[in-house]
Amino acid sequence: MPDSHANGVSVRERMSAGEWAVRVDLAALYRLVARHGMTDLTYTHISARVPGTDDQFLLNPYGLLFEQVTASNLVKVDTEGNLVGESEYGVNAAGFTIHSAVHMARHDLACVAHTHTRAGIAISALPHGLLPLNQKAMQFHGRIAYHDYEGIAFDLDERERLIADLGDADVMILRSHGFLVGGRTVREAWSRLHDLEKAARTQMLAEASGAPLAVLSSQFCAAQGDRPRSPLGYNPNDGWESQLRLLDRADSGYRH
Amino acid sequence: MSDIRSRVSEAEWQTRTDLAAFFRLAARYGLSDLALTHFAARVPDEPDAFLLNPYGLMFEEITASSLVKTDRDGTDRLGTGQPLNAVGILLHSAILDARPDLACTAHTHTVPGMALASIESELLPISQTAMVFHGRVGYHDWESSEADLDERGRLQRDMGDGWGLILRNHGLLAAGPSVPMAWVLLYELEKACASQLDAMAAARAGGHSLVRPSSGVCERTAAQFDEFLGSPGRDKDWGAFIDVLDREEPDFRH
Repeated sequence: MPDSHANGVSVRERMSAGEWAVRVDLAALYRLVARHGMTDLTYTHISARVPGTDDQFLLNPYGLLFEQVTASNLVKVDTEGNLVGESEYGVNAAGFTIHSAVHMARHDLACVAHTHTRAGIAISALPHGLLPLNQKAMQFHGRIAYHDYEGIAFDLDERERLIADLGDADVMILRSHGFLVGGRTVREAWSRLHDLEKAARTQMLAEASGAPLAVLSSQFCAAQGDRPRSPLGYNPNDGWESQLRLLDRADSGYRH
Repeated sequence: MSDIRSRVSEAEWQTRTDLAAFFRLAARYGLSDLALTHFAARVPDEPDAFLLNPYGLMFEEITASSLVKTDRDGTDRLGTGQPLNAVGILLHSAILDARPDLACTAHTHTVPGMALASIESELLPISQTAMVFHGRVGYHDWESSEADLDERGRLQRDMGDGWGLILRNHGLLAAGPSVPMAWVLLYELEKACASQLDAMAAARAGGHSLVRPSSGVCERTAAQFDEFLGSPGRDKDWGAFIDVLDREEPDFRH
């Protein structure tokens, strides 16, 4: 999709380089979520805070599929719900409620992703939520907040309860609804969302088997952070650049 | 890295090509976990060296040249400076060191593999597919994301003389006497896990018991597979996979 132009000036030329870079990453994240089968038609949202602001964020244009989101067509709104700049699209009202709540309260989170996946909904419908069953799930142990369902989030009053329930957690299970995942960067949000989804799919398969679950103890999970560094080194690499190259190879349209 | 080919033996280049193909197949069959897991192949004419995927590269991007030649200490044998996953060095070197009969080892974090590793059950010989691993798969308790050198001995003990490991609370490892056979064993181990979990869920829901072939049949079948895995004709299907990749993503050879 070409840049949308207003008065002959492209979207890109009307913003800081920092905002444009976040837009490209966020559009890439929409495409990755689609490629990994984590969409719900047009009904969920991923947002990113506009760099240098505490009250503006980017959200998907309501009415487009994740596969159609581009850096330029992301919609910029403020936490009061005002459109910043121009857009031919609006934003989803329930999405605005949920994402604006997090951006109002948690300036350390640059990106917030919300999904309604089969595994995420299933976990959200279980009283015990996500269990520390394996390496993927362990990173979330004791770090997940829970928020009870209140109906479709059209009521802005729900924001204060979302904020209170989230506290200083980076991940919240929206009970009877789905997942909410924050990251200090777009790529961190993706890495967390991907692992949380995989942990959820794994747990659903494991629980359905009826076999006793091999739940890792709280002591084991807590002790992981104290393990000595390996002499073989430690080079964490989330593969983000490699994933973007694969996106570019298939369809680099998200960058426009 | 285009000069790698000129710096390695013909045998190593062939192994690089096969291992790169294995990564591409794993990606095609949904066995990858972003860039987070690793496969290794022994360098044929340098038995203490092995090839490993560079950390951070998606399986779909791996090529013969991009594979890193390393050893149990994580030495960068060709000085290419690519990052390696420390757990990958530890895990694969442990198995390849202890088992000279094995040429290739592969580690995954798939949903069925992690699920089987997350329940208090063994891999059951309830199908021909699973019987390859009857008495030939080990169980290794999850320790840490830090590569503790002492874990090598425990990995070797738990692997024994099997074709794979259930890495409890973590994932799977399959190992073969050739790269093509490591691919087949990884694929079948995955399928064995997935089908067992489905059968368990259905049996539980319907109040049934699983059909269990006799231990004699299970052992006989496993021995038949052992014989196949040791036979000279075992890799003859590999060319068919290579043909598909040559047609659709020939850059794995680069």
